[in-house]
Amino acid sequence: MQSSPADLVKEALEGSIRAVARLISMVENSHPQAESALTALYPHIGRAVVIGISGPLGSGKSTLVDKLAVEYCKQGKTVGIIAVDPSSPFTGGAFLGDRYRMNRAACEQNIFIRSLGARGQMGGLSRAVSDVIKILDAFGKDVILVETLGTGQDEVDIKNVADTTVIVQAPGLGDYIQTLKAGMMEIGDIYVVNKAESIEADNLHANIQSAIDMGNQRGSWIPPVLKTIATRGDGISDCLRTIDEHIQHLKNEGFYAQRQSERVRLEVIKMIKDKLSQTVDTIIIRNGAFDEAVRQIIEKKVEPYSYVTKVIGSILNPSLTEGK
Amino acid sequence: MDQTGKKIRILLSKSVQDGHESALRYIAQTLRDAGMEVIYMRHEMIEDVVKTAAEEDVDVIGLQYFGAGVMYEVPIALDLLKQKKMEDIKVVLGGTITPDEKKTLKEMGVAEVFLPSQGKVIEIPAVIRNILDGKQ
Repeated sequence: MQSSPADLVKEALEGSIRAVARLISMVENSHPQAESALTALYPHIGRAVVIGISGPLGSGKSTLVDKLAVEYCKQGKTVGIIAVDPSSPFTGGAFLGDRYRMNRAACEQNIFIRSLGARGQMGGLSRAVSDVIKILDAFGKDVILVETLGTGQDEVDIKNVADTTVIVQAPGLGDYIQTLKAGMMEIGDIYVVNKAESIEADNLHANIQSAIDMGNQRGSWIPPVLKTIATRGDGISDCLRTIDEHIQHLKNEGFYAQRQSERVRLEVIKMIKDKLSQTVDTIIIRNGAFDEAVRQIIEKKVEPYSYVTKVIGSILNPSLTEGK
Repeated sequence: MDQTGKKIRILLSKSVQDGHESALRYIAQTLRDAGMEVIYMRHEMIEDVVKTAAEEDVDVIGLQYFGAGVMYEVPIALDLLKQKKMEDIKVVLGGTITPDEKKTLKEMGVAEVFLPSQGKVIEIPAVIRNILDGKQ
């Protein structure tokens, strides 16, 4: 890389697309100076509204995201899109094809699209996503749309990075049993039945609506169930309006601050876990003594639990093991 | 496997006017299976490709030409990359391109042109890695 991280931050804040893209890559690739770049950007974040769009394969998320982005653009807003696709657990490669659906001819300058591979996260969101959101936020994007296949696990989860989570379903992917399952059907702030031109769409809509009606409400927002035909642009403005209503609801009831606090909490936990994980990698696994320990464990000279306790002790108190 | 290190990112595109897509899909799959992140699009104007390459911070742009247009679009792309100081991005091409065109294109700065009779798709990832390592 020719520019230094400090240069990239400066250029990004001045509006350089390439600098923003480079910073995103730094964060994705765990570049040693990614942290200092993010620290420099931190004062500039906090303006963007983050909307998560999740749902099963083929439900039409990319098409919906594309149409929402153009609609926001018409309202005079600038948009960032992060499209996450799975990475192969075998080869590490990824086919990032979401932007194939996205055609922003009319709004070229105001929409920034970046494709990310989930890189090891089976739940669908790469660990870098919340940092990438910060970069686009600092870059000045009013709205950030995050499109992902799954919902994620724990601290790496769409509902923890988004203000509003939209779950997109489509008819023909299953019967009413699917609408009762835990996970995806619990985290939506808004549910969308896309491909509503299909005869089965009404059925699906009714099933989702009844699952919500019979469910336990978490708070005062009752998730609406919308219908769209994203390819035709039908229902898009309603969708936008509903998202705005949800954001307003969060701000009115003070939930916004509460969510932000929860989000920061989980993010910091994730950062701590990631750092510890790196430590385990560099200090322990690549250490010849580890291979010896594995041999001893197999030969039953040592059992794994006390070995692990000893290792953790040595990480937390390195001075105790000097000269070992 | 450690998935947090740097990966090769390659942008593949063809003109919307080009009806042949199965070759590009096959290449996309091969590159994905070789551990690369493949950004897949189609373009109406070649300028779209350069803008996407900037946003996606790709290492390589791969363009397919099964119809006309290579000698029109590629010089525009190379010129734009130069203007925007994105010359570090390598451009590779494939399709029904003639050996003469290949010669001219390589002189213009294209890193490699994969002619139909030239080799096997399965070899392409290694060629790309060599190009990025500066061995070609």
